[in-house]
Amino acid sequence: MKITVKNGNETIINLSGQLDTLTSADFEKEITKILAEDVHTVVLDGTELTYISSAGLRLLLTLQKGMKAKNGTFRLRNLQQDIIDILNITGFSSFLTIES
Amino acid sequence: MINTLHIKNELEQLTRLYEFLDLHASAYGLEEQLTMQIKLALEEVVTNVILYAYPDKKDQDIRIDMNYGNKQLTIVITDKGTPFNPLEMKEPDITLPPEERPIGGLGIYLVKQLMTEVTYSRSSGKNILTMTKDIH
Repeated sequence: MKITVKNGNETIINLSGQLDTLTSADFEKEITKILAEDVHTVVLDGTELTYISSAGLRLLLTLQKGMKAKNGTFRLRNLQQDIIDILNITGFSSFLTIES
Repeated sequence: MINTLHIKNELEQLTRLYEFLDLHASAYGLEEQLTMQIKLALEEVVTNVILYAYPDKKDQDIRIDMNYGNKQLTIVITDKGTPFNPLEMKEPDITLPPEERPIGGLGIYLVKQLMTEVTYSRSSGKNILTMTKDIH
């Protein structure tokens, strides 16, 4: 998986490939860095994200909680339908902000 | 025909599991969305086995058998580790807000939602988890 983080008014994370048990370790490091910084808005762009397992879902939960604790916002955009289906099945779509 | 993969109880071996699934799913002609769902179920179950079946032991075997026929995909995961029925794990409350969400339990919940049927048995010192998915 490829992770790209762009800082600006919003911090934009592009994930490309599979967010699974193995690749989630790298993503967790990025999240830890982002949450430690003075960041108000984080956007995850899922245009190229093809797969997510529970290890990845846990990290979305970490980001959501972490940004809320900082009074910031976390949004997901351009998610593929298969990923949205998984967020619906697990009830994650009820508390995540998902843009189409 | 049954396709079989043996892996060791190391997380790095998940890469071989993904390759195994991609290879055969494409040979069976399964569509992409279905392959993703099956990969997810397989990853969750096998990750659990890797992490918990053989505490403190390395180089232990996990066997994955996969078969497709009569519009049904069957996957059997077998290990010789500690008796453990993942289906007995408490189901997460998926209506809880993020603050109250526990860390565990989501994986097996997903497996049950994505597969048509999941059964566990313990036989001859082996944990045997069987998952089937009806393909329409």
